[in-house]
Amino acid sequence: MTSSYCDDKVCIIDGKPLLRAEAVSISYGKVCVLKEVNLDIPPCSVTAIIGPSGCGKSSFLNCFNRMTDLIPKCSVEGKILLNGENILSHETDLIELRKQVGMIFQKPNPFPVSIAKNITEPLKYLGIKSKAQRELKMQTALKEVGLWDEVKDRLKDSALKLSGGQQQRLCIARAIALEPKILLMDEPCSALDPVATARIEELILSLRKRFCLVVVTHNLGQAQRISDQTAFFWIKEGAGALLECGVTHELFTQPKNDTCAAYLEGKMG
Amino acid sequence: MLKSKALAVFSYLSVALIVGLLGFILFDITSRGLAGISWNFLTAEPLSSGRAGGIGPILLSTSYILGIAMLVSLPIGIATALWLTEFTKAGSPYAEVVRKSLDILAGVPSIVFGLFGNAFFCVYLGMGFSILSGGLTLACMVLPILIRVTEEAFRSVPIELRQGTAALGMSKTSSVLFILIPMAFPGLLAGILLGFGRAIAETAALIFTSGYVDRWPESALDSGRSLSVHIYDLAMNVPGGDANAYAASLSLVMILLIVGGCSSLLAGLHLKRKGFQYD
Repeated sequence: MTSSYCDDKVCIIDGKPLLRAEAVSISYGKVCVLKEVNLDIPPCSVTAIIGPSGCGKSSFLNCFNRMTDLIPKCSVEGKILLNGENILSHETDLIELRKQVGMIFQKPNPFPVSIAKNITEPLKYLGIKSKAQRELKMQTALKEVGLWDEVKDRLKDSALKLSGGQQQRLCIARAIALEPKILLMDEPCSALDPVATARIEELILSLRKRFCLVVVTHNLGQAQRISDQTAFFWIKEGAGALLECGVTHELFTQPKNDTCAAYLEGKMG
Repeated sequence: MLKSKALAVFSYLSVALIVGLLGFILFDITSRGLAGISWNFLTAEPLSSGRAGGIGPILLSTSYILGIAMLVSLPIGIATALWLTEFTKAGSPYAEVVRKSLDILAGVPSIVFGLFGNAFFCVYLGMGFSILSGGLTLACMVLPILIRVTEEAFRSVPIELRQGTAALGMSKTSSVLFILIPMAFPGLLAGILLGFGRAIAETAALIFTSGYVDRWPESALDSGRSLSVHIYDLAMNVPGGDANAYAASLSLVMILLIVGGCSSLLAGLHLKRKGFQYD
């Protein structure tokens, strides 16, 4: 299946990038897992990162909100520029950065509290004092992810009672309630069934109008359906590397790199 | 086949032995102590070295000592457990040293804590034989076990939830207050209960620190006799004190049961109130 959900897909890759990775290398201890990646990520677009397991896709994604700081012995070199500032710098305020760069994980991770509190409590801790305002933001976010009608009568129920797909949409709502600029998604559908996956894909396409999304995916069809630009990672000389990056449609129909072509045809990886 | 059967038989026999032993102790204490328990016994002063009268002042001293011990050990214990789980990197050598020291401390005989408490709190800090000295000594004794159990409780909170709060830009403090402490609360209570149990059962450490004066304590700087010291004294040093020793023992067991019951009730209520639900 290669058709896309929306026909208004416009490529705006030529504009000024919102995020720019310059010579980003990642090591765990002495082992280098990703070597010198340069990548521009435009605003209001979806960038898909594809490639085989172990090529450093997720590690790369984790650099953009410095979740790499939580991984023992992980060190990142190079620069990642957001609004012209290097977020890899020691001076970066991680709390501010993570408010701007939200993240969705592979396995939905709602907090074991009520559906409403999953969104309102983090807002409270982030300094939104007015309860009414928090509730308004919660409602807006739930509507945006298409969950409001499904949960409006049971906002006080535990979020763990929701299905996997609903949980993942709740996690997306929780992230967008903070009004970030960028949303990182690490294989957001790999734990979901096809119907739930389709809903998340639709959601990604609708969010693309307001946010910049970077999605790591193993599903090539998904990359084609949802993304404007695709970055192909591969393991070269023992470490992950970016082999090709381009407009999704072009990369999938006329890949320039031979390895990329073979991978897309299913001959490698 | 024969081997696995033998193991099963041995396991069942062991359980029967343990349950039987516990049952016998409880039965013995209850049957011999119940007659002595009355409102008067629980509130009156001991007379004739405890052969007659009650355990009022002793219960008060015990609650003072335990109160001080828990009040001091809880914040320090929780903070140390947080340091071990949240503020050190996995495999940090410093954390390892702290953990090993705690494990060794947890195994140190209580009489050693008693002597330390006597030398440090009573003599060096000049607190004398007092409820305060006893409480602080017990706090030192309870801390290792409290920290290790609390640490396990924090560690059992899934990493995905920590990542979740971090990715939402929540600070470490927010994450601790919002997710860690509420989720670890039942485990935390278990740690408190273990510490409480160790403290209330303590005799040796208290003889050297809080003393064994059995009058009503007037302040934390007064000497005071704890329930376990009282039981020891009645059983070993006071001829004819057996009946009251049994009644006092039964009171001790009842306190433990009540505190244990209340804490599990509290844990359940807390989970419900916070909306925490586990599948």
